[in-house]
Amino acid sequence: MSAEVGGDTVRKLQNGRVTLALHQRKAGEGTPLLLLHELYGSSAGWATEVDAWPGPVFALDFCGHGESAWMRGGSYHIEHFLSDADTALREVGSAVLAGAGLGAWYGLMLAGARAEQVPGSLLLPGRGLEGSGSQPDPLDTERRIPTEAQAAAFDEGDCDPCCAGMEGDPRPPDFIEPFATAARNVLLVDDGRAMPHWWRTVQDCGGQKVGADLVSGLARLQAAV
Amino acid sequence: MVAFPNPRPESIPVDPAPEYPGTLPPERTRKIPSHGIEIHTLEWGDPEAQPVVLAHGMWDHARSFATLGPLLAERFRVIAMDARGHGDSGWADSYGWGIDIYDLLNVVASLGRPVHLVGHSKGGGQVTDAARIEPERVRQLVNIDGFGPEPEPEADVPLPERMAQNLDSRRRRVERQSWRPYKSLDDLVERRLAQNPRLDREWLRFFVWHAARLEPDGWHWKHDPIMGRFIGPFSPDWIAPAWAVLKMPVLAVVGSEPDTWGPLPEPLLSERLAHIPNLERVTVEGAGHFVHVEKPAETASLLLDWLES
Repeated sequence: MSAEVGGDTVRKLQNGRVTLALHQRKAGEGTPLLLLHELYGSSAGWATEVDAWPGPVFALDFCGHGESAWMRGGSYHIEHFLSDADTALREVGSAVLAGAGLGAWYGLMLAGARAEQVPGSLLLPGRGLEGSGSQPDPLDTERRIPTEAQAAAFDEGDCDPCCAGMEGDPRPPDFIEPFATAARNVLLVDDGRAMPHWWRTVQDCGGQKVGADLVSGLARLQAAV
Repeated sequence: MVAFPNPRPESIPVDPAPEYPGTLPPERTRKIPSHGIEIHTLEWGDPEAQPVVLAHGMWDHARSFATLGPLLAERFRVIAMDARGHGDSGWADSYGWGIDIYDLLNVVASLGRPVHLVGHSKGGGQVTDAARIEPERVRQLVNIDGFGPEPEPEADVPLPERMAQNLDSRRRRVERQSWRPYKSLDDLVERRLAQNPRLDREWLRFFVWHAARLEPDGWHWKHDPIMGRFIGPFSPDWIAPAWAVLKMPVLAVVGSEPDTWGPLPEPLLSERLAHIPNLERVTVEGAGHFVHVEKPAETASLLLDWLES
């Protein structure tokens, strides 16, 4: 199913009981670019520079975000974000990935698990990048799931307040290492701020730092793949 | 909060329920909202008495406490809950450990006063986490053989490859609408008996009648078919150190007999329990993993003796 909205074509994809929105920002020849947004973000938050990519450009709304459905029952964790990205990749066939924040963590995991379909990936800073650090947050995921009163006062855009549980999502370097090793052509966008702890592991596995300019980052990615 | 329809299929009513010695029907049932899902509870005992909340294990349901609950009701208000996706609680789009804890805490909050928490197997781990997170709501804690899994042996297949397989198998799992139908309740009994050979057929006939529903093509398990395991960053080594914050009295109960899903090997169990500051430990002789099912009178006597009114 697809529909044209404001020059952007939206495909509705089914991931189990959840309907996802995959936006095609532009058409083009060659390898597609699949964009995975940050925690509390959406497909609408990407800078227009991403359209410098010569091939078709797709932007996913993760479950609970943007135009994708909220999880009935409010449970969000790795299974859903990773399988959402996998569902989008399956739709597109093969793609380079650009992921910001939480989208960078799950993007790299997908790039390692589906290395044949993902010739390269660009990891960007953004919300959800650090997660709770190397181990679960002492406050715990479930402590961050808001009560109904807290949900009513939630002020993080249009996403499901229950996505706040993802702030307790751990980023153990030893877990990501085999994915970073299996993934092809990984670029890390260094915007001058402190690098997240798990990016050092990615660098040790061959990930290359690039500058904060998105257009040149995409050009590097294009050259690499 | 948005209220969602329950996607569980309708079932054909079948009466009467099988009987099992010592079980009593619940005196009250309630449905407690928790983020758009209704959590179903069974109750026995004086509504004004000190509440005891009972949480079951994976693939079980509230009636697994149908012998223990009425015995505890001698002195307590006993509330046995169906976890989401199990028994007569609602189905969700997804499941996870964190949201189960949230449901438990919502059930506790609905009682309006601190409670005693009792959990078995997965429910034992979850009541322990609930007590860790909201200690002010929990007076005493009983964990029946729910002390986490053993560390997994090193896998032969690299993690990215296992994750790809996991994504493929998950896709098949979340797309299924129902469990396969069984011709008769006895087939379900045999299926469960193969997993839990220590449980007797008569109990299982009672248990599966409440765990399954009849549809035109046969009997189906009631629990949600999309539930399943997904790999992720998790280490069993993270479990027990987190118990160090538990301030309330904790009773750890295991059976003496080796069984399908427990208990843990003694050195590992002792090592994990050493993290709990205020611990008592009891081994129930002659019981396996389902201590409260195999030995309801002994378990009730133990809890009536240990839990404060």
